[in-house]
Amino acid sequence: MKEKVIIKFDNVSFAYKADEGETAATGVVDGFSLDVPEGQFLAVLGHNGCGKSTIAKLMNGILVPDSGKVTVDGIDTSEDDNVIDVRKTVGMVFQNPDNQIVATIVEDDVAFGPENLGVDPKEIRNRVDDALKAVGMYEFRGREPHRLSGGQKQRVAIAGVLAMNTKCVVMDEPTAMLDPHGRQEVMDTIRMLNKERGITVILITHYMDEAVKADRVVVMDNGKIVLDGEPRNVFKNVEKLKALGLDVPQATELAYRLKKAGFPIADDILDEEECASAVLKVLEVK
Amino acid sequence: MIKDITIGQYFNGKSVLHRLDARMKIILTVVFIVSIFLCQNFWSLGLMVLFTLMTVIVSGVPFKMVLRSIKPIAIIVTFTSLINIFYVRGGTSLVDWRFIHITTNGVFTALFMATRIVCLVVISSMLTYTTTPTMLTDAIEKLLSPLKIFKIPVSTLAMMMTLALRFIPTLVDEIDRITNAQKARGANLDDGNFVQRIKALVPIIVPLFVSSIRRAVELADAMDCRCYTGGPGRTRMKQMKFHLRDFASLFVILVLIAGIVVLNYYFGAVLVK
Amino acid sequence: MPVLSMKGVTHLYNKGTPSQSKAIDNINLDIEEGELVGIIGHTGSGKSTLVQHFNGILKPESGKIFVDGTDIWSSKKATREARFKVGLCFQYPEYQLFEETVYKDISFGPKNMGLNEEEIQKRVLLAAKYVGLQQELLEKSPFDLSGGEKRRAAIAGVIAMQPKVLILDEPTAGLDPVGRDKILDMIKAYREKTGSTVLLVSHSMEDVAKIATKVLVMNDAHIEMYGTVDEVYSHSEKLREIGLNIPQVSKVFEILNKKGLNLGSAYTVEKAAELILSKGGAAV
Repeated sequence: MKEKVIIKFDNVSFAYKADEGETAATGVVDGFSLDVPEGQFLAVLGHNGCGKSTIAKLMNGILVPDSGKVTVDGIDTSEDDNVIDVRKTVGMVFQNPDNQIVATIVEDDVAFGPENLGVDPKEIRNRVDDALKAVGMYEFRGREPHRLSGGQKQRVAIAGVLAMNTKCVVMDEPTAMLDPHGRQEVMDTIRMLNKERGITVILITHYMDEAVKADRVVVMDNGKIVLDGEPRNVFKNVEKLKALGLDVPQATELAYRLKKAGFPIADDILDEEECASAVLKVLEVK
Repeated sequence: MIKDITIGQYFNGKSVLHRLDARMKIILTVVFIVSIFLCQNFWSLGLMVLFTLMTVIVSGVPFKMVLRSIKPIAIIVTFTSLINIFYVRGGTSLVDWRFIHITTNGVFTALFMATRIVCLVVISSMLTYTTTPTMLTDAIEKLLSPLKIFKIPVSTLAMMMTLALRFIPTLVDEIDRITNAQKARGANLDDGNFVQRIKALVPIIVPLFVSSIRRAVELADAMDCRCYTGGPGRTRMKQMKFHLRDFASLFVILVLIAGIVVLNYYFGAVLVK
Repeated sequence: MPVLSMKGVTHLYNKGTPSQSKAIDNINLDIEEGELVGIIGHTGSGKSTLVQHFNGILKPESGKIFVDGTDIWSSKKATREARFKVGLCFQYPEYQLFEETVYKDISFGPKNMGLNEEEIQKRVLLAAKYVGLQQELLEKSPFDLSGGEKRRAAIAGVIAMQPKVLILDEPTAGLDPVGRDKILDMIKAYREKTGSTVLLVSHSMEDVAKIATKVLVMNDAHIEMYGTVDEVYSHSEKLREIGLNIPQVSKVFEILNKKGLNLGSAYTVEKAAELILSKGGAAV
């Protein structure tokens, strides 16, 4: 059976108008096509200004394409009447945790989405409790958001999306402003969403160690897709990634350097475990 | 650290007063303020003071904190009391020496005024000590909701109020950060005359404005994404419900008013016309 | 004589409230001139509090701070001098930009120092060169720059004061790899050209490994370690224990060493490859 496609970009182009804040040359998307199957964990990589944030905003109708079509669960995002349905399907988490929390108490913030959708109060209570437990923030439900750490705030924001029962979550560099501990918290939460709840996750990032955890990685440059595939196959292209201004995981780069120096090691290494055992294998055979 | 500021002066507790419906608390406060001005003699005034003290005790808020809320008005109270003592005429003359004339009416008026103001402030601060700003906002929204028939956007106003409360700590934090950054570049914020000081604020105010606008734009996107339309059809997770204790509290305040009226009647007015 | 020195410095959070706690506790520290010190530690370990004492933004509860041998709290003049001798660039410094042009913004610090127009111009141009901002950008509004350019303009505003010591708190936070590498290269080149002392507060042990000469590890309000990069990074288990994220190649080497390979330690890819090849090369 063919997998159901939940988000579809069909030859989409978009450019910011001069008055929309961005400088005209950056953030452009040009003839972009992409199918995201339901339940996939997709990482989108690229340097700043490559169009990856534009892609995120096109996915739930904050922006609509100049040409081409974006459909979400079969709904066209460019129709004004569809906007609520689109946003009920695709939730968003942004980079700055401070600028997306609207309430003065954690649980009230999580309730904000379902309240806007007119959900019955009892049902909202259930969803809020469930969402807060899922992200591990239930004990903090009565706290004031400004007293939480960055990682905790992002988890509250994720709970806010969960409580809307969306099928998809798009995250636009959710860990860029966090310390390593906060990043770990958020990555664990994202994996949980995807693996345990079956939610489709689109993670926009420039941290390679995060992209490694995804099912599929798409690398963008100048508003186009330049690499697309499983992390293992994408990260093999060390030279190309570096030329695009991206990092590769240190373990991958180490294997790549060794191989270049004539050391007979595999080139599809993703993490420290794989790297160590590959090195061991070579050294022990000798 | 500045991050730990509390908006309003909520005192975390579990007393009956904390659990009362915020709408009822607002109503009770208003009724109490009216009843303060009903007192005509020391008996009813005493009853009111007693009631105020009881409220403080029941709330579990430490006296020290309550005293802190009176502090800012101490000067006003002293000043008005002195004016009353020296200028109000009537009743028996107590001191009559050269230009100083003090009468019983003067002393009584001063005492009444001082007690009334203190009670008023204490009771109002009890409202904010036992109610979170969020609950207050929600209650005000509910109490004002009849105004919707006059096309006043009550829920939008309440949303704005909530957002203001939410972002005050964030902005205070931001001001702190910008101030430090400019100080590190040698900005002198503490010295100079009035004009120099105002000018010295530019390097703080401009970045604060720029970042606030950026925050507002991002926040608007985030609210859009969570389907906020500002229109009707919005539900609330926390439903406000009156409990038995709310009606009981209303009963208590009615008893207080009855008490004041009865005491006023039995002992007459203390001020002589 | 060390350029920066602390003697028994303690700083309290929330002084006088029930939640009072020590942000840094009885710190003794000497930093020699010309070093590039990476300061690492998890959030709340006291690393930002530590550096904010050197230019007198924070006043310690007890203890003394010396810049160039002068106690910075001994007189008002000494405190003000410390402001300019120690240039402190905060996290997300682009949020301090406020002037109409980049040029004017960079000159804010030198102007506060009371320098003349000619000297200011010299310093602004030099600072812009150090951070790699093209001349034509100087007449633009700082708000029209890209994210990375804004960051560099803000750093130039601190460099233009020509401080003896430059302190940067998380200068690469939130930047993409290209922006990050530009800033790191710039810091390295700046130190080599000027011979200034640089303190770099960072979460990224990879970044620190790339450019630092010494590393200071803060943990729980104390200095946990202070030494050369080699000395500090060889204690990978200890670093991990206090919640730091050691570079991935160090993790690879930890595993290899546990298997009895005895490779020593590596914290950059270059070094790691070299060590493995020397071992493997002998075997091949």
